[in-house]
Amino acid sequence: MNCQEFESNAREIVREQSEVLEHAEGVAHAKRCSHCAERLREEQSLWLATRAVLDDTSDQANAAQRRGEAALLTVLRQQSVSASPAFSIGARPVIWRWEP
Amino acid sequence: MEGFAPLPLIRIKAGWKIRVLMTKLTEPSDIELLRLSADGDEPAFLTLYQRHYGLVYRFALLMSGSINIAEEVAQEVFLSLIRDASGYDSERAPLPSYLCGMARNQVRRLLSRERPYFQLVDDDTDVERLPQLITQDDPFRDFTRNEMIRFVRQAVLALPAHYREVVVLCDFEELSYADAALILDCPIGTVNSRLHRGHALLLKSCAFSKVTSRQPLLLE
Repeated sequence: MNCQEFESNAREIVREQSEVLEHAEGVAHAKRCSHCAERLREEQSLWLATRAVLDDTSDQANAAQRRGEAALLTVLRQQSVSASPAFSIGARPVIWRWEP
Repeated sequence: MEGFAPLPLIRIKAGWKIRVLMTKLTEPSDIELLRLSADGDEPAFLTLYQRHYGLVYRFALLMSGSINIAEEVAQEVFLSLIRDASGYDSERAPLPSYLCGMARNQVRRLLSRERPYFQLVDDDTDVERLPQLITQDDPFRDFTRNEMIRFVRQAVLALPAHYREVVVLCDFEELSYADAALILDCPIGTVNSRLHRGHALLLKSCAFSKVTSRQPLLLE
């Protein structure tokens, strides 16, 4: 692998989204080339940063999820009640009366 | 039977994989849960909600930079799902893609409503015109984790919207190009080129090269 090929694959190499052989060649190239080693470190730093951001955002998502749950369940209940024919607007229950 | 002789060994070696497979097989599918939810089944709806809320919320948060918008968008997406589940066509896209697509539209709508407060960069912004978020010195030396997270979020927000979308979906959520293309309703090639450009812009604005000399190469 040369520097140009490494450059176009650096993102995938760090994220282990490249083919096994490509990954191995990329890492081997970075060990020989100081420029590409630096490039690999950059990609690793960005990847680690994105993981940290994602973890942090996931914590916020969990809190928001709990807050929104009750309101959505209320809507779901209302929806299923209004969709039920027995309770639909305008529907009148049929009452059977025995008349001698 | 001789054919079964190696089975215990295979089972031991592949035990973890078998367990994962069995879990996936026993979990109800999104379509099944959606059908039950439409009939008012609360546990089914909650399972769907818990399964996909995170993705929708994180996407909205990273796209907008606003907790309020993210929460509003996520709530609106699941409300739409309750009110009109028939709007989802399982043959067109998996449910997460559909939900993210809705979230994307909602974020756009809310950002345009609050445009005075959100300075979105135009489509053809050059790298040099992006805000330089760092100093020439090592910016992370005294950074805490929280500061670093805030810094990266700002860098993501500084990206033009069409690059930001693919960066959030592919770099952060690690979706495939095909899944991102479904959400963004564009060809895979477009996702590829936007990601290449957006990723480069993000790297440049973060300038991690200033700080990486202290970090070892993780890959072997």
